[in-house]
Amino acid sequence: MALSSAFPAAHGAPDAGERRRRRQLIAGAIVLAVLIALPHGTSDVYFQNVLVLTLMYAALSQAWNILGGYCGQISLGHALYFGLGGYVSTILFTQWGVPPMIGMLPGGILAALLALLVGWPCFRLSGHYYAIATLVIAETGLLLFLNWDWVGGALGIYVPFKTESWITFQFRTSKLPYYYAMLGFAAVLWLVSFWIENAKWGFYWRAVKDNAVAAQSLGVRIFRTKMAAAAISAFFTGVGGAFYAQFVAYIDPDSTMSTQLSILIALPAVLGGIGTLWGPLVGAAVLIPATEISRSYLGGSGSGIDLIFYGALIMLVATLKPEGLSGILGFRRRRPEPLAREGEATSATP
Amino acid sequence: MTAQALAQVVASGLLIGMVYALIAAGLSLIFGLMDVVNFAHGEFLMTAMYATFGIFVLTAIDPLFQLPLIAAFLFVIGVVVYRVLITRALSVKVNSGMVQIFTTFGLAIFIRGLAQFIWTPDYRSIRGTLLSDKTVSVLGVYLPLPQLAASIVCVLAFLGLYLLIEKTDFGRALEATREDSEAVALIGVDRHRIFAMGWGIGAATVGVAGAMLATFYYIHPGVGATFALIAYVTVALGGFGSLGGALVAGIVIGLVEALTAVIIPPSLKQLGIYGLYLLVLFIRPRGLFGTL
Amino acid sequence: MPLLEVDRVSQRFGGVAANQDVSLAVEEGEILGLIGPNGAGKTTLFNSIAGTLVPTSGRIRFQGQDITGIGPAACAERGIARTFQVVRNFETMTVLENVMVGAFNRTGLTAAAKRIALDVLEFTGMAARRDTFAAELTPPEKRRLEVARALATQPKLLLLDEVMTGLTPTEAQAGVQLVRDIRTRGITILMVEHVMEIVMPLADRVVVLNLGRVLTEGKPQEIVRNPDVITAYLGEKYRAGAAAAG
Repeated sequence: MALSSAFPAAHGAPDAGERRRRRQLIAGAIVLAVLIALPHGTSDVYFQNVLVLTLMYAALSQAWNILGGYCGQISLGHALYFGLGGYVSTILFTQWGVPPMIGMLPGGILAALLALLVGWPCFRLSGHYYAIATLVIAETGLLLFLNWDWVGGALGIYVPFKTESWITFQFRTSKLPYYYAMLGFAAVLWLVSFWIENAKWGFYWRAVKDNAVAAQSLGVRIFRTKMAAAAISAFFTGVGGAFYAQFVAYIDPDSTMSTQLSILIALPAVLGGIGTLWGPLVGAAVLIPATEISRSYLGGSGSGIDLIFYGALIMLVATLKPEGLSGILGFRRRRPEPLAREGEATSATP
Repeated sequence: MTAQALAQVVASGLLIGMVYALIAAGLSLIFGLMDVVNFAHGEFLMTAMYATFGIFVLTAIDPLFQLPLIAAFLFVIGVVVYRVLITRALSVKVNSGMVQIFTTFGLAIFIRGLAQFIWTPDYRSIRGTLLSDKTVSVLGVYLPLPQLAASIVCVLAFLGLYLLIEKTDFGRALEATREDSEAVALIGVDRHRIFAMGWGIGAATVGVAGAMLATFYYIHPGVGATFALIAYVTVALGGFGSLGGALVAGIVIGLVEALTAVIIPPSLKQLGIYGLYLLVLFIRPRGLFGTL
Repeated sequence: MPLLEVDRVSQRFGGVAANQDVSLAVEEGEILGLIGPNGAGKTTLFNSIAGTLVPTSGRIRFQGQDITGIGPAACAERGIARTFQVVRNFETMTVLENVMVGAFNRTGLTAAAKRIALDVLEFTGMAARRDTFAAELTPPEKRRLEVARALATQPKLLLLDEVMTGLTPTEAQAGVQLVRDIRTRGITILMVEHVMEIVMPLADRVVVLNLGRVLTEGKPQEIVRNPDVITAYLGEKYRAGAAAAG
């Protein structure tokens, strides 16, 4: 019996994908509403601070996830883009009075350009080459900035208070505007991910991850799509750096370009579910408050306990539950395990 | 600068270059065998350094005599890491790219945190060994004995590695597994055993380097990251999977680093080798002797 | 002007010549069969046309333009699509999503890609399975998905790599019908095939490769009676018998 179409094509009815996206959008709206209301339940400045940081890391991790999760290229040096964006915005502000709300754009763009430069030789090679390159390049950037007097070297730059306004992104009386700015930032990143998942690039990235050879035969230019992911990811990370510099009113290489920060940017996505829409947010919501609270109780990072914790967490997730937390919580859609590919070594994604 | 001073710089670069070469060899061995980058390689080195320090402080056994012990210790660590962690990582089918990278990367962070917890971030150093504070003069160039001894040990270790791989049955099995890990099962070679041994030997080599390094380099929790970067750069230059490449590249990196410190401020001396890395990346990604 | 021209293509791997001086032409609208015994160089030639391999010498022209060595993605953009002998579905994506990846070859918009994909799914009879994950399909369905996905790229030339292998006679019949339907849609087809019962009734012309070279070409009825072809497949002792029967 021929497999001919005995069923009329149901072009009108939404398919499983559309229904899922509607559910995601509704969930997103609910979460947003909750987050908008959240800070009004407390006036504790410390708690507000934790919330701001949680949202920032959620956003940064979401940006990282675009390259590392959807596109499968693991960057271990993303803090470089963060710091670069922060420095560009801060220098434009302190030297030439360019308000950070504008200055964050060149910050993001420069970060994106740097990411393209890094990707250009590496994206033709397999994944671990890229990971190593990001480590070395981030370290190079850190070293340069530590010794560059014009940007303050190791001492960094203090951001002077000019006026309290949205355009300068400086607020004295309350932390709430920072919170809402970060919430907006995180929401934008969530929407960008939501949109990309259903756009040509999202499809292409998933195809390349599943079977790069087949993807190519369908017209997918692998190199170009990777470059696009890198640029988008780095751009938003740089913008985040600009936000952060204004939030803490200070920027220096060690706090904004370190490997430690690169880990913190990647970790929420890995923990929450790499390559998923909700992963970074879930991961940040669990990780950042835990980090901040433990810091107060267990003392600063000199003790090494935070590293032990992160390291163990990463190993556990990587070996036991690589789909991350959101897999356990049932957020992500049911996805079959890919079959082991014939004859191919299980090396990092090309 | 004078020829004398230049010779001094070149000499010290060569000496440390041999150490770099051995460290890179361990990394390259594991990669060549199973296409896995051990992001915890630097932390293996750090572990060896701390172990050497600890044993010396407790028992006053000179690091030179500790070598077999440290090598064995790191060998065991390598095997255990393979059996416990790597086998699990390789069997994961979801997100396999992320898993491979993050398994060893997480291990690196974990070990570093452990070191920080046990030893505190304070810098440690070993004083009063057989060779400490002694130098020998060769053709007017002063060679500190600890560095010279380290260099010689590393050359010997490299030679040992070469003999192991080229001349023994195990070495041939290693090479065969490298070429076709699935086919070797058909001739009765247990590739898991080979992989475990590969990890053990890779860790042991970096253990030897670490034990010697501890006699003249400051020991602190961040030292692993420092040398890991140098190792990546060295392997990238020499070619992933090539032991000969690791040797040549190690020497080159040692020289470049030493000479860079002469030209630009010493705090920036790493820029020389990072710059070299970028050059290799853009112009010849597979390095001198590697295959892609 | 033929749609596809293979002009004295040779492919060497080290000391082995997989293809030697192969020339053929595919006319628009025809179904061309590419056959030959094992080791004849069919797959090598196939991969050269599809852009995965760069020939050691010779040129390949599509619609008059030189496409030698432009790569598989560029070939797809120009209108050459292919299937894989060992099925390469996107396992973690649904049938619809798989086909949409192909459809994105012609559009950047998700809605448009979806429309193209749904149309193709209907055409290939897979519309009912659109939300099923590729990993959960039966083997013949996976084959069909390969074809559907390639069709979604809206090719002018479709290269089929042994799509009928391993199908039951019933499934093969459905496959043959699909190939005919594809041709009716105006797509030219080049198919590498082992199963003679499939190729002979289906193909307009057949090219026979042997030992890396073109042995002969012509209509299927002529090919089956050609003594050289029979010798290539079955050996010398069947040669005389064939000449007598023909």
